[in-house]
Amino acid sequence: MKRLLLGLLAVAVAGSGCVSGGQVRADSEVIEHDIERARRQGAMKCAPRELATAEADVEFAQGELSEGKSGPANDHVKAAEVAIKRALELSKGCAPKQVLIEHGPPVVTPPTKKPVVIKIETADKDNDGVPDDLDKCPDQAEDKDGFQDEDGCPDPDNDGDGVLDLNDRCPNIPGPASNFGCPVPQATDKDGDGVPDELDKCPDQPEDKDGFQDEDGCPDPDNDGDGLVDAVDRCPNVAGPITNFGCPVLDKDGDGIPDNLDRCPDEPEDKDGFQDEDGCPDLDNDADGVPDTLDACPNLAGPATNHGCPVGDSDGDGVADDADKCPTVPGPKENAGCPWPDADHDGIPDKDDKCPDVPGTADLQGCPKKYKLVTVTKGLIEIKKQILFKTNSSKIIGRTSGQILGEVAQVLKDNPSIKHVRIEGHTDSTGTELHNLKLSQDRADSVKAALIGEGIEPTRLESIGYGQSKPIASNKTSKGRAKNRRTEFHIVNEGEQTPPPPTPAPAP
Amino acid sequence: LELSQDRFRGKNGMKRPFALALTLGLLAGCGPVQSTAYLIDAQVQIEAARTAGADKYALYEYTAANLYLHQSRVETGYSNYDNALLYAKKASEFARQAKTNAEAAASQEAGGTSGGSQTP
Repeated sequence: MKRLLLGLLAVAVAGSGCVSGGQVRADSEVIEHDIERARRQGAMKCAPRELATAEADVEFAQGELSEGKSGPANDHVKAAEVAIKRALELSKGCAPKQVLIEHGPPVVTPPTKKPVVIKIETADKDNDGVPDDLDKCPDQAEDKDGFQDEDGCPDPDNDGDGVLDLNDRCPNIPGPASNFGCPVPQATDKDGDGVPDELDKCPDQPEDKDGFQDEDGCPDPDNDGDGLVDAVDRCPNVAGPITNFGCPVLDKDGDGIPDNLDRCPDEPEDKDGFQDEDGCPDLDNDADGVPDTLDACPNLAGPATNHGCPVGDSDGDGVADDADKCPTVPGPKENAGCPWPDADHDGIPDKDDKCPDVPGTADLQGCPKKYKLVTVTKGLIEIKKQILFKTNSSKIIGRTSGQILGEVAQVLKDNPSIKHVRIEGHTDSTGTELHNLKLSQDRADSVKAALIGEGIEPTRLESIGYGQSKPIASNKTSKGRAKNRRTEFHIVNEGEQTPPPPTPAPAP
Repeated sequence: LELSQDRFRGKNGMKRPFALALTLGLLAGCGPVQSTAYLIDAQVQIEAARTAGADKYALYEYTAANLYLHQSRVETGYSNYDNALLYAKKASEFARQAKTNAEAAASQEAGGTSGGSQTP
């Protein structure tokens, strides 16, 4: 029956896994040993009440342990412990130092004779209740801890795990000192992520092992919590907007322009209102070589001598006034802002004009075109033959006169640089002066009309009759009077004033 | 059952109830009735032992009998009839032994010839 109870007790203790139950069981075993010792000491005689109490309470405790009632069992064990201690105390010196062993059935002898007995003295030097002849360690008292107590030798480390029983919470089961001598339970890992369940905050979800908080056992699908799962997050551990693929918008130079828009991400924009949106500093906005910090006109190119401000160009020829020797007249830079000289005003600078004193055309490098009846000289279109008029009339006559006028008209067409031509009419001294003056005017007008008829703009033409006031030869001879009857074409360019009528030359 | 005819011939007035309970227990075969019957039997035995001077001459057995009787009642209170029955039987056994030992010791002290009994 006792074995059955012990078996049930062991099953109950193993099943419950309750530490206090195991302790109660261990204590009851110790008390059982003490009961045996008390019996040997003669407690049956000297402390029968205490012995009976201890034995009964131990049995009650074991019965309750078998039913899993560790609390009541503990109460009985404590009662038993008190009782057995008292029993041991009362039975000190009560046990006989001799053990009486009777061999065979009691011998019936006459009442007058004492029974034959064999007395064997048994010593117990260490007083541990194990006779020396059975005690493997007769000089060391057995520790009576329920573990191999019958050999008489103390076992300071029952399970041999290196942790003394005094410090061993599981004295009969090997275990490391780090776990107080108890065995370390095998770690389980349900999700197989390598993190033991006891350390795994998510034992049913495998850790994603992405290097981010892998020790907690929980998968982190979005490490940086920016709302973009790590699988598509280019910066999974740094929060960033979705528009930047989960990466933070950086501004390394701190100029307020994100690096992805900053052409110079390592140089801060100077924010001076000039191309500030590109993120690059513009230290010389106008690129005039004068740094903006020293440039009074940072956005207008100008020489350092003018504090970076531009110098004016009054004539708009591209040559600044301070370098323009003719600031009011446009001229090339090569000529220090002054126009090239053009003496004949034919539009071809003298330097390029092979005939600088005679208006000419560009195709003839400034030289006049050669005509049959006309020669262009400086200030004059000379006609090689005179234009003929009807006597006392302004009517132009003769074939040659028409040819002459045709060539004069051609000269004017070929030389647009000839802006203005003064047509002068002259007579000889025959007749009255007033009549001659009027006749010369009419003839000049007639020539002008003829040239207009040739296609010359009227504004280029001016007609003046001088009468007999400007003879070029003597009026006393017929040859002289013929020379005086003449028509002249004077080139009067723009800006040139019509010379005043010359004083009459003295007749030769 | 190890019931002796002597017990039925006891002088206390509990013979009839015990017999009735025992009969009912045997017929019914149920735990509560059985344990109650044995409890009553243990009480009778203990009383007999005490009358025989067990509280003086067989203190071990007498103490044990009372303890087991008490525990049997406790187990009955928890409806643990198996344990109650077991402890009641033990109580009866210890009580019988106590009575025997007490009677032997008393007669020896009185100069009788009956030998002392061995403790269990």
